[in-house]
Amino acid sequence: MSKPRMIEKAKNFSLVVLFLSTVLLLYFFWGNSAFDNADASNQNPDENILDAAYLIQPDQIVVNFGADNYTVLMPGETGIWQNSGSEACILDEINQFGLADNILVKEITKEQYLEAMKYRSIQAAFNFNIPMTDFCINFDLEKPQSYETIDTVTSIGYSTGSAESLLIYDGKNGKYYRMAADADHTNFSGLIDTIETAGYDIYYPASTYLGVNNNTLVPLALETNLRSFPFRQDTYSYQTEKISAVAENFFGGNFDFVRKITEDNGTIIYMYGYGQNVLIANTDGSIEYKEEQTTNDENQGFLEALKTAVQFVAKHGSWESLDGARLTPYLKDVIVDPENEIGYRFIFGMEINGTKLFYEDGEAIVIEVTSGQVTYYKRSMIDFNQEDLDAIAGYDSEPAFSSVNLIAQNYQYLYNILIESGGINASLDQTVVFEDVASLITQMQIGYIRLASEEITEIQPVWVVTINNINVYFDLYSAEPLGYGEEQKE
Amino acid sequence: MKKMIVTLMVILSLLFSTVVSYGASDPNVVLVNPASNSTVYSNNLLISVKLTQPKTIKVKVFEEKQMVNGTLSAVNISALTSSNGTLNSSSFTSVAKMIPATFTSTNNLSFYTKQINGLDPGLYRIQIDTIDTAGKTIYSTNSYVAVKEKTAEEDADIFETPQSGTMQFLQNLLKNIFGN
Repeated sequence: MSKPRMIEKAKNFSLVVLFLSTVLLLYFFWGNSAFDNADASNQNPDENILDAAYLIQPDQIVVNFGADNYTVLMPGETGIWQNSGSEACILDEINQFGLADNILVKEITKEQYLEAMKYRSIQAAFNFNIPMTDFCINFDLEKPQSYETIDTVTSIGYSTGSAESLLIYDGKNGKYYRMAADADHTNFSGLIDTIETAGYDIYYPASTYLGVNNNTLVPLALETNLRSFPFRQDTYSYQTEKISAVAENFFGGNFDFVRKITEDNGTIIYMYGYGQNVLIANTDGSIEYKEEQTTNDENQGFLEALKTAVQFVAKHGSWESLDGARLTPYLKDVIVDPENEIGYRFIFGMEINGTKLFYEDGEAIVIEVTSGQVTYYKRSMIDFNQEDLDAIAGYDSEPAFSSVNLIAQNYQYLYNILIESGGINASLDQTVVFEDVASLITQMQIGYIRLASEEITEIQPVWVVTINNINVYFDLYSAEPLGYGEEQKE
Repeated sequence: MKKMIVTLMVILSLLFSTVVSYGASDPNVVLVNPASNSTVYSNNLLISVKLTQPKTIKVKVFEEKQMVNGTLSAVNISALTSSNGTLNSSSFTSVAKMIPATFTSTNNLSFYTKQINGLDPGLYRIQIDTIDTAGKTIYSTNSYVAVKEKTAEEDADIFETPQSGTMQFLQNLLKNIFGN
């Protein structure tokens, strides 16, 4: 072969290699896979990816000691729902129940379910519906074939009124079930005894105190050492270096190709391509990320989608504040097929030393997984000095304001909120206003509040009264109204 | 059992209606819980009093006892139902079950709440006095409540015996084939 011919062949080969390299590079930079690969390369091997099992927990655990003597436990306060030690817990007892032979599943009426719960009983109530299959997989429970009759689990409970059974409420379909074994193989009864012996906060139905038609459980008197403490947002848009590092984490190797826009009000927008991927650093300290839908995995179930969400958060900001303040996340709510997209919107709440942190406006973390892909993520985490929390833990307990008198003192305020939100029609008969308001309360609990005003620099302890899906916040010790916010449901 | 409870409540109402109020009742002070002349199956009792005007009230709880064979004994609630329809409250000896509690409300609506623990089966009287600024009782009302022990019958299984596993399997199979 002549030398010019060899040179010609080498040139052709180089052209082919260059062409293929161009195609590969275009694919790498413009294709969606670029982000996944880039993320993987930037991944911190020590990042804390939580087990989804620990994020799914009941909103509250209701224990009936019989004769209308109740207590309500928050899963974050105790190991009653699950614990890694040897103490008895609800999940262990459910697992024990599942080992029985010939478990029968039968639909029961709401009246029968409520009747059973009037007996000595324990019930874990979730804020959302968990598909039965995912419930069993997530909590590593035995799943007899007979369970397939049940679509979702919203509440699961045990009653001495039917000791060989577990009782389930399927909130998705509004159905109630009884799963019956041949005998009581569990020690739920012992668990209830343990809670009773250890001492508990007394709760009664609102009807018992107030004489209104409302079975919501309200505490008689609570003592707590919760106090205000200073906080700051996780990030602020003016913290350019911090925001830049956050953005780099989202865009990875493509960061050089990302446009940065700073708006007049201080909001910073990072955009890749023609808006396929957008990151917004808001002036209120929250960050939002939106990604164009490119996948079409419509078969991703609840649990898989949750795992996708959990991993995404772990890689993009972590489950703590960026500066490492200790917050405990939990799955607060789930919205199925948000805005008609197939998938889930997961809302994550945070606990501080076992106490729920509420936001007057927004949520700690909201993430949407549609058709198997994260398409929306909003993060509004707080940061604080751990020493402040440690100091509070050493304070003596004080009585919180009387729950019943908080309602009596503020019913007109609650009434005005209900009218403003359209949750109630203005009544001409002022004598029934109290009864109208008191009968609509669906939950009463204590927690911490991050108020919306940017001038407020402290997280405050509060009473939270839930009425028509609106959380109304009152000072924990004086019952002074502080604000309110609608629960994100749609 | 329910029939018996209803009968008991009716009889208690009839009996006590003749002996209860020895003073006028305050229209702005209402005992919400326990309902007057009711029966509770618990060893504790929640007292909830609704005040619809700024007031000062004094709440007292007594156990009514009777002399039986020379000793003060709890009133036998079951025996009351078989009496001839008369009750002589003067035969009762009132034993205080709590230190009298004074509660002052400065609002137009407020509640006094208190849980009394460690109650034995028997007959209890809740006395609510309205006190004026000079400390004088201007209204006084009494309400009775019977405390009973829960019987085994009330803990009975509320569901019928479940069908066999084979029947359930067949039922589910048929449902799957033919739908619901």
